[in-house]
Amino acid sequence: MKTPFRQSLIDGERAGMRYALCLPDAPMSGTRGERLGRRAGSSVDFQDYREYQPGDDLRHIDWNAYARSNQLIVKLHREEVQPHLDLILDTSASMNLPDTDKPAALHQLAALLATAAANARCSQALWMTGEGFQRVRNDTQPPGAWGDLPMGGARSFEEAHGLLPPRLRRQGMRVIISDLLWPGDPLPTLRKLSEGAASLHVIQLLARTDATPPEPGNVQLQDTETGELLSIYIDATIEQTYRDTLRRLQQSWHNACKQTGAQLTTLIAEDLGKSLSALEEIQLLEPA
Amino acid sequence: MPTITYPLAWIAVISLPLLAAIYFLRHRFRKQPVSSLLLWQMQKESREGGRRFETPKFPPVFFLELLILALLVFAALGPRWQLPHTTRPLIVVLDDSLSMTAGPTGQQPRDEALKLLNEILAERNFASYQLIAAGAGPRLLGNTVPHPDQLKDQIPLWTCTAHATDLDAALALARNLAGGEADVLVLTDHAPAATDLPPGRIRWHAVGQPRVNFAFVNAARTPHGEGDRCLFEVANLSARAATNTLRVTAGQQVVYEKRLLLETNRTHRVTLPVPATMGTLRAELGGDALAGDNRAALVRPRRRQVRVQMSVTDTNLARLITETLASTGLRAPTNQPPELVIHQSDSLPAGREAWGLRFAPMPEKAERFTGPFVMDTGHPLTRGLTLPGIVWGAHATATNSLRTPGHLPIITAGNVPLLTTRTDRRQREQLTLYFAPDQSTVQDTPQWPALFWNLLSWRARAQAGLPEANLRLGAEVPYRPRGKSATLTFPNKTEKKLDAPAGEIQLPVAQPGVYTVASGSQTNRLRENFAINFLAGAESNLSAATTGKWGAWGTEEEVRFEYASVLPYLILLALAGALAHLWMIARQRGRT
Repeated sequence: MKTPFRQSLIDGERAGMRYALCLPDAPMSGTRGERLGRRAGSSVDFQDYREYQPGDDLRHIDWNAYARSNQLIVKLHREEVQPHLDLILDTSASMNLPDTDKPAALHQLAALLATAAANARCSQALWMTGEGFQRVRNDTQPPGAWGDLPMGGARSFEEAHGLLPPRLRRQGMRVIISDLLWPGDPLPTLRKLSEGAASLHVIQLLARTDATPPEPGNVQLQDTETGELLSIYIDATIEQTYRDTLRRLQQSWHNACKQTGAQLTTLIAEDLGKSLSALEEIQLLEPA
Repeated sequence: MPTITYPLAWIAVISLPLLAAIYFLRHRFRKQPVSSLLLWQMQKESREGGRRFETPKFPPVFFLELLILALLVFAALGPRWQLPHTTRPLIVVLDDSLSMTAGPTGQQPRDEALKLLNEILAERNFASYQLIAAGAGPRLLGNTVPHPDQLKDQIPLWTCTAHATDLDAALALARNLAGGEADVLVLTDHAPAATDLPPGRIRWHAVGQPRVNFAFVNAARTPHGEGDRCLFEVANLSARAATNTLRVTAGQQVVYEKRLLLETNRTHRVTLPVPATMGTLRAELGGDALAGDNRAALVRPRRRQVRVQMSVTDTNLARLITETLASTGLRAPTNQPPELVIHQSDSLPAGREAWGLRFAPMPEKAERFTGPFVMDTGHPLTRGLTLPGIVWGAHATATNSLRTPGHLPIITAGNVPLLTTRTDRRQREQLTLYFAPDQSTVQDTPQWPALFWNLLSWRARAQAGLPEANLRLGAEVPYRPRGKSATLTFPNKTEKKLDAPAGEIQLPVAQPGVYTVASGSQTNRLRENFAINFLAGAESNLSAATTGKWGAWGTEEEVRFEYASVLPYLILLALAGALAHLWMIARQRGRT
């Protein structure tokens, strides 16, 4: 991994030490751990009674109930699970916008969330876009030990999801970090990503140049993903049109998130340090 | 069109492309990568109708700055507009001489002069327009017209074929036409003779160039014995030495050919004896700047002879006169009908065309005069005569004859007439010679045959037909037709019938070439060829041709009164533009 991004991971890890992932109230699934799961388990928390079935642990038979009703009743307890975070990173070319802090912010944010997840005793998995979604090497380790996050994939987030979707753990937390700049209705993608999730957070990470149009004048714009060129003269009208278009895009994502129960927030890469409070507002992070 | 006061300020025009270059460099398409063109979708869709060439677009403030700069540059030029009430008539004096056609087509002084005239006409307005062609004499090319477009019909009449140009006469005519109030424009190919132009509002433009030119400056063909003698004189009228080829032909026969190398202003003479029967000789020079003076033609001269009838009773005197007449070579072998009767009687000679030379009776003791002899040097009879040191015997009392009306003295010895003439009512000349051979020595001198040669020559010139067969362009061509009319055939074979009620007419020849003139009845037809040659050394001389401008239409003070400056308006417009510029800049800053 290139040195600047390695430093970003270290910076993110350092920043994440102050936070813990804010776990949802809903029961979660996961490997055995310290959090109550949605299924019956071996915790001390009572969950329910049911008739004994062959194979049940005899230690869970409620003998008092048997004395009262002469029936074998098994006492069920909530299982204790370790919560899981699936961090889905958009590493397409658009997130590697030259001359911006966008790729560094992506690394820093991923490291921060992973560290906060570790603070909340969550397991984690990092997914990145490419020719379909792939796991990041050593993603269960602290961020400093992660393998490369190759930036600049030719596939957009939506295309990569169509090719090979990430194998997300059910009832886990899911966080998407992307600039969300791809055409089409976001709802189908969001539905798939939110399916079986305990929670879904969508972080739109934009460079400042994404959020604000270029200075007035003649500009030749080049799409970093497709290489397509567009020569235009930017004036006040074009500036306003750009802002309106961005607002409409964010509104469509907001509506899609509302329908799928996801939380959406937008961060500016260059202002990442000052924007972390937004992650607390959507109850993704809490002070450790 | 405005008049520019400071043409050097055109240099400031460079600021306009400079500004454009600065904006182009600042506003050329700067490349900027973006995450996605998704947010520019609206702009993309509007261009799907077809790809077009992308040119940098400049902000409105650029065009405003360009306008301000243009206004300032225009103001720096000091433009002035002519006031409508100050317009004057324009009289254009056009050099109509042949030298205005020197050089290749399109670069001739005439072409340059026309170009300059059009520029001046486009530059300012005049109250009216008049064109004068200045040839050997001034010639109006048309009526005064109120609009310059109407000059188009007159320009083709400016042919530039004259053998000389008299610009002074044309300027005098221009002054007479407008009473000195007109602006006079002279378009020629040489500088004015004097540094100070003639008084008046005159602008003199010379548009010529010194070029290499050879020309015929003399050409003559005269009877010489049984044959003719031809003379061609060629001059190098250039500012430097040059070569050319002279070729003389008679029909298909080459009579003479030579390559000439001449220093500047040097001439080369060729004298060719040719048989009298040889037809028209044509001499030609190789190509040079002026084609019109490279050709000369010499037709056969007419051998004129006079039929002389001798009626002198004094044997010695008759022999003397007969021998003298024979020595002139102008006496015809026959004497009927007589054209000149030499007699001693008091009566007029018979014959409708008979002139008379009467030898007045002398006293036995005639007076011997040794001078002073007074001659009418303008008379054809005294051509080439000098009478110093001779003795002329005459009648001292002949003074009385001068009292007779109509007698004009031609030669006198003091107040004693020696030779007088009188034109009778039939237009015949009747001469009286007071001459006593015994008391005179004049018959022993060359003056005597010269006097008779003049007499026969004068009589011959009075015959029907042309006096000379080879003439210079510009010379008068008198013609005495047989009858009351004549037909002139031009070199281009067109014919013109000329009426001659008074006997002698001047033939209208304006172009060089070989002409034919005929007159008389079918049975007594007189048909003669004659050649007109362009032999004008001064006009062919291109060494003094130059380009320049002299004089002006009024002083600077006059111009100030006749033209209004628009500088204040331009400055005001530029200031308004600057304010608008400030407002636009402030508006842009407010928006950002």
